[in-house]
Amino acid sequence: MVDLSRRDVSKLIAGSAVLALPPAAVQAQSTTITVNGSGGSLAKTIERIYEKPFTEKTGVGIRSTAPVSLAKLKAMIETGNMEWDLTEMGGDDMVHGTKNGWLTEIDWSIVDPDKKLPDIARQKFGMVTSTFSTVIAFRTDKFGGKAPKSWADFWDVKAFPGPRTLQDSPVHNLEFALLADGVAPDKLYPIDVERAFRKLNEIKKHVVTWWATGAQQVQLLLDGEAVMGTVWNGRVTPLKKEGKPIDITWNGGALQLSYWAVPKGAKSPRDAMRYMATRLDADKGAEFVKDAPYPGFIPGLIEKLTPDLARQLPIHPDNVSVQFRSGTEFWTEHRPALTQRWQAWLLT
Amino acid sequence: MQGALHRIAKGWTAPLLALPLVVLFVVLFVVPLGEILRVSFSAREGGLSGFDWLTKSPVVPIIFLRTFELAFWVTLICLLLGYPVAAYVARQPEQRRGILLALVLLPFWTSVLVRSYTWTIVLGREGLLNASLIWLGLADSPQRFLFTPFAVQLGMVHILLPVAILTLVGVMTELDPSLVRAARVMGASPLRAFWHVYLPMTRPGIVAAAMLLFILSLGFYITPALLGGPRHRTLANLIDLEVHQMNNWNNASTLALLLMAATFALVALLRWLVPDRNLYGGGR
Repeated sequence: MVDLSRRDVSKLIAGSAVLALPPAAVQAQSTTITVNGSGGSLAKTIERIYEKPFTEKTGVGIRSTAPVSLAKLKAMIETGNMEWDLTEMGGDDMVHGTKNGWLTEIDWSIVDPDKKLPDIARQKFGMVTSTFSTVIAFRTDKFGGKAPKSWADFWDVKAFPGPRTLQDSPVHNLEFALLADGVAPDKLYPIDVERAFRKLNEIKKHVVTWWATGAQQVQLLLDGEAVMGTVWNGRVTPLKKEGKPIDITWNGGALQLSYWAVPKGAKSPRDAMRYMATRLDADKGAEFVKDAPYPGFIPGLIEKLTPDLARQLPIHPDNVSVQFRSGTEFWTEHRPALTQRWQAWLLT
Repeated sequence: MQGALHRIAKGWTAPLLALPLVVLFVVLFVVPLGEILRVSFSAREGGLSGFDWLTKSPVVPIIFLRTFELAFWVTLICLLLGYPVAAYVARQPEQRRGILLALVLLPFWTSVLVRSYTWTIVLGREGLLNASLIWLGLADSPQRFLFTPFAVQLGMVHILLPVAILTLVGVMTELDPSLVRAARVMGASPLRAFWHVYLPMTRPGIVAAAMLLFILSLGFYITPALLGGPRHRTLANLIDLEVHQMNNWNNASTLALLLMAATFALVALLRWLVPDRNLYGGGR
């Protein structure tokens, strides 16, 4: 007769209990985090460089969603049904999200234990994951070999004839108008609103339409609806590679930061922060910027790139010196009122 | 006894059968509507309530008027274009009518997004229309068609024309064609027979179609966004802007209520103008 001690019996029971667990409970062991980003063609690059290796290494699956939307975040916070573990946030969104208490504090001992990131990238509720710039883009085949070099050129419809396109937002368009009017880049803020709108009146009838999305920016240029317009710098890089007659100038670009943040109520904040940490890897970063010139402040990145590629990044020293840093504080405060005014201005 | 019970049971059948729909309606319509009402009256911290904003915004009155103006023209053009087509279709023998109606329905079943987007290709600066005009020598430089009120009207008429035709055909096939014939026999000119006999008979159809078209036009969203752009926004686009760009659901809710109230007022006006039984395709 087999002698079973009490301990053996309890082990047996525990073992069979594990076996008897329903499959759903077993699945819950392997976490999947939901990462919300901009989507688009970049999603594939991100999956290859960051998401797949992370899942292979940690067993944590990643589901990616799009688009970046503060309205969606707000709705999820209010309904208490937080889908995202990590989300991209624009500069203004970051200010709103922080102010409204929608975000979880970053545990920097998980994300950046060796303090390799510069201070600007390490904030209480978010990490700077990318930089981008709103710049002038133009058709290289429409001005007989000439290329616009400044906002003054953008406003000069005699030297550079043809329809323009600008964003449907006062943000940066007021700055661009002031730059065209001769204001020095370091004197933009606080914005002289009256002067900016006066200057915008000059270009208004030459603007064929006012874009709302990144896809529209380049589509309008490629379709020939506009010969010059504003774009986010990275939108043009792949098109140039394909040989499309389109180029940008960094002069007068609006440099902006975008962040990764963990929303309040996220189901797996720790795994989200572990995934965040992969963005500090300079090798991955170098691979990433080949497809998407939107680098974060990755330590040691520029040194890993060819000069030609480095030159296409908003954080390249040559480009930094000719751009202006977008005034997030100004816009967070004045955006609602100025957007009202903008909408009224646009209608007439 | 049996008969009385049966009658009572019969009396309850209809409400009972309607119950699921009523519940669905309450859950999916009345409750969210109440929420919209609540949100539009409450203010964001430090901000205006939706109604305060509504009275102060310089944008809302302009867009409100433009939306109604747009709906008016689209409705009118759809009726003018749809009426002869519907009259023609209604006169055809049954089998032929079926084929013609299928042809009308075909574009009706195509996605609004696809149909709107197609116009951007036709109307674009380097699009089909401009290329044709320049090739024919009718224009020497590309004209601006896209992102104009004209483009929005064109796109909306294209989308709503089947609705106009289908509604009108429904009424016209019910009519007695011998009445028009009688008028002609009695010596009325074709125009007179049409004006005094045919047209009055189709009036309920015209009113029903106009109401339907107008209400649908008021809520148009994708077509103005794609073909008009931000300078030619409708109320629906403004609601979207308040939700997605301004994150101001109070304002968006107030606008939604405004749009709904205007629609109700319009329906009430039409019900008053045209007796009930004549609406929705007459005495079927």
